[in-house]
Amino acid sequence: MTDFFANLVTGFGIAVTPMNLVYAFIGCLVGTLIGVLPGIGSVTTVALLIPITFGMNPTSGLILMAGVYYGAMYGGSTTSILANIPGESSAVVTTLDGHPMAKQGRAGAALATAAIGSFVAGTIATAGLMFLAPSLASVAIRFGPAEYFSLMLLGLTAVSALGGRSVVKSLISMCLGLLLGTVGLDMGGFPRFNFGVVELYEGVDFIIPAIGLFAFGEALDQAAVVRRKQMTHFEFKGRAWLTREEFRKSTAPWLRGSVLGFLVGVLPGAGATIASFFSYALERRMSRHPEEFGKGAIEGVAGPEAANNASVGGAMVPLLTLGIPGSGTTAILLGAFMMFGLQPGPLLFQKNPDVIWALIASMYIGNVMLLVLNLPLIRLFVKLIDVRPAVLVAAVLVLSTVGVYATNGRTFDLWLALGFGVLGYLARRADFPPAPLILALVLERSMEDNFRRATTLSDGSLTIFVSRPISAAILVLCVLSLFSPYLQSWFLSRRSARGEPAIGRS
Amino acid sequence: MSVADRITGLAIIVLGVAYWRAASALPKPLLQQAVGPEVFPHLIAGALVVLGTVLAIGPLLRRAAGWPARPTEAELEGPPDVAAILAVLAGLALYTFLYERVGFILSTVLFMAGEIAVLEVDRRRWPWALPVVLLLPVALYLLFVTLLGVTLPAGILG
Repeated sequence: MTDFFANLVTGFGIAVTPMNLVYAFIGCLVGTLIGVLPGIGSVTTVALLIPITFGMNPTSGLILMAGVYYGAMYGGSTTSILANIPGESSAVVTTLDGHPMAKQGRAGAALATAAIGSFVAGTIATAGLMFLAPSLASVAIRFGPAEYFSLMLLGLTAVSALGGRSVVKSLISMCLGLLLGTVGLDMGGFPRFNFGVVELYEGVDFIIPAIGLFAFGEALDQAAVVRRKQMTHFEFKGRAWLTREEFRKSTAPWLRGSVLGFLVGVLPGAGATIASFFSYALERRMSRHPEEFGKGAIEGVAGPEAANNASVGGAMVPLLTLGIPGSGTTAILLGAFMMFGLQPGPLLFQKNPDVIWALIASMYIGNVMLLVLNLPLIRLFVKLIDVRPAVLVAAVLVLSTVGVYATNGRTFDLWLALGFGVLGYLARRADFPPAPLILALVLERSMEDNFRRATTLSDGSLTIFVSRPISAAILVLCVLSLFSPYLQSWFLSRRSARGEPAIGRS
Repeated sequence: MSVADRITGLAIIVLGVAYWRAASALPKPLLQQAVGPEVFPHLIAGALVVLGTVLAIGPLLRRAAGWPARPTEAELEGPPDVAAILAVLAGLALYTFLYERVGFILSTVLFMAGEIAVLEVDRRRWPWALPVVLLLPVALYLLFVTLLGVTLPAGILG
């Protein structure tokens, strides 16, 4: 326990240096600014802003990106409440009661409960991360390559099963990511699958498909509708603040949402979206006035907003201790770690505890900063929702090219990203989710590495994955996770048969 | 969308087979290894073929089981503005072509002006976009190159 506090003190010592405080501040501010732009989700925001960190030291870079992640999550809820435009699936629930509140002139209360709820949730989840991660890391360090391979497979299948509308399409997306990951040098240092293209000799940098699929794809998606979109102008007057009554009503949902969100966030594949839906369902069930939900119940904003922010802290647990991201956004963060030459996993806790603890400390600080920023600056953010979509599309595309070009300083990558953008747009239209692809691409190297090491131990036999009990248990979970959407729709249809309104999956 | 799914499924099968063959053709390492560099790719290739098959025949199975077809994202959104998309893609191609040749700032000003001219239907808004078009490229260049030490092409201004 003394170790623990010593670590935390060291972490704060690094995070509170003036430069790192500035980075945390910039991360939160820029993350919110971009996240608030309509239609831009947290994955795109994080992918777009990675190039900012190229010249930084790892700790500062990661502190900045964690701030961006938080800011983007919060920014997304602002557009949900005010404009009824959820930037991503995790913000959909917020529109259900947040937008009705705004229409009744209670936008200030909705924004305030979201901001304070996010602060409460972020702080609780960071505490959860701090207590859970080191003990999980000390268990995980005993895992062998077979267990690791199975765990990564579970991470991938869980995201595929829970993240899209069709499991088959998600899995195809995942396999394409793995395929892409094998391009480049193999473990022995031999070039593979580069088809004689010099630029592919060292493989595809994850940032290029990430920006291509998410940012270019999203821009094309918007371009497809921008000329016939009706601009809805809206005003926000007053302050973002809560009355004593609203504060009282929000407190319990904040706390419940925080705990729920954290726990759901830790699970592979689940994440912000599922956490927010669960929290909404929970609040409606707990409420003495469930009929108010959907018509502007503040609990319906407070709970889900806390839950989706807490899931960020939860998602950091498997990311840091096992090196397994649970979503597109954390996959990009994992890519950022690797870019800095850090491999998240139990060894990171031994080799670079300073980075981890500085990151944890900066998450506490980031939460305070966001709260201080968001309540007074809300009017500035609101102005951004009014940005003309045509200008927005052009600016997103320009920022995308900066990120892609800056990676290696060559236009080949821009052509590649353009290709991925077209693919991303078509995939979006046909319901292929891009997140499993990025996740698989980022994980491919260590997955294959563990696969080859495990099979070397077993002299080439694949049975090692099922003969080791922990690995076998994880593989069973993989299979179960693939069937979970079917169980879920069966469960929902039974509920709607009982007359309870179903909340749809997004 | 069962036709589109069937075509995509077939394409995925073809990709899986081609990938399998490319993996089989990998040169064997000199050192004897229990598992060569082709085994993991083979697993991926196998999965692609299986998944492509399921995708291609999925609609048939679905119909046989009597499940209702779900509308895809594309069907929910309605037909896209193809002209706008092609204009954006052409603009991006030209932008990429000019990126290093004339440099970041000039190509970006040109690209943004072009995109906004195509995508902004309300012409009264054009003058308002002008400051963004002129200032954003310069601001980004200064931010990334001067402050963050990231490489961007200076081009003919450099």
